[in-house]
Amino acid sequence: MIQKDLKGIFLLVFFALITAFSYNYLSPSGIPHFGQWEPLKTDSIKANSIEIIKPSVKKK
Amino acid sequence: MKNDYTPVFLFIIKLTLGISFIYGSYHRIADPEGFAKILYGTAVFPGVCINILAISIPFVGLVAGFSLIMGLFPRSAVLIINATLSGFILIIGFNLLRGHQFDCGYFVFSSENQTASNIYLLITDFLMLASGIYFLRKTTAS
Repeated sequence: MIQKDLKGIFLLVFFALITAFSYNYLSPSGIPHFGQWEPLKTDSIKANSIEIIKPSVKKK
Repeated sequence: MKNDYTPVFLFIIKLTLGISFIYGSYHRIADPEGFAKILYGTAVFPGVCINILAISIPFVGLVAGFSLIMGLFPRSAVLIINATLSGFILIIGFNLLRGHQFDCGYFVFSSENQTASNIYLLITDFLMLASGIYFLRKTTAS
């Protein structure tokens, strides 16, 4: 009974992971699998953003 | 002890758990970045594994939901669903206890009153977990 349940869990999770990574790889809205969390960096950049003031040039 | 209504209860539990997991997974699959932000907002997982979890968890829920409704390894599917629900309960409960505000986003991605929303989700998860345990106790291995 436990062996059948474990076999089922293994099959379902295996199928789910294959589907998940295939879909993410093929889909245009996919996110990178590995590496550091990207939005954290962009959020911190937004929070500390500096306004660029364009110099006014006087025309003679 | 089985009575005449047990198969009906089991069928209702099967449909409810299956449909709610398929519906819950749909939003997460459609917007993996949003789900990754939610996972990051829980402040439980390290940054390196957030993307992998955001990609894999929705599909595990989707496959378990479909498998439960279609009757393929129903006990295994319910075991996966119960494990997922236990994880949600631990994360939501832990964050509520330490007073950390976060958007759980199981069925919706945003809410104005997040604490009330999280308590509601915690109660829902407990009810679903209880029905999953009942299903496991009343069914035999396929």
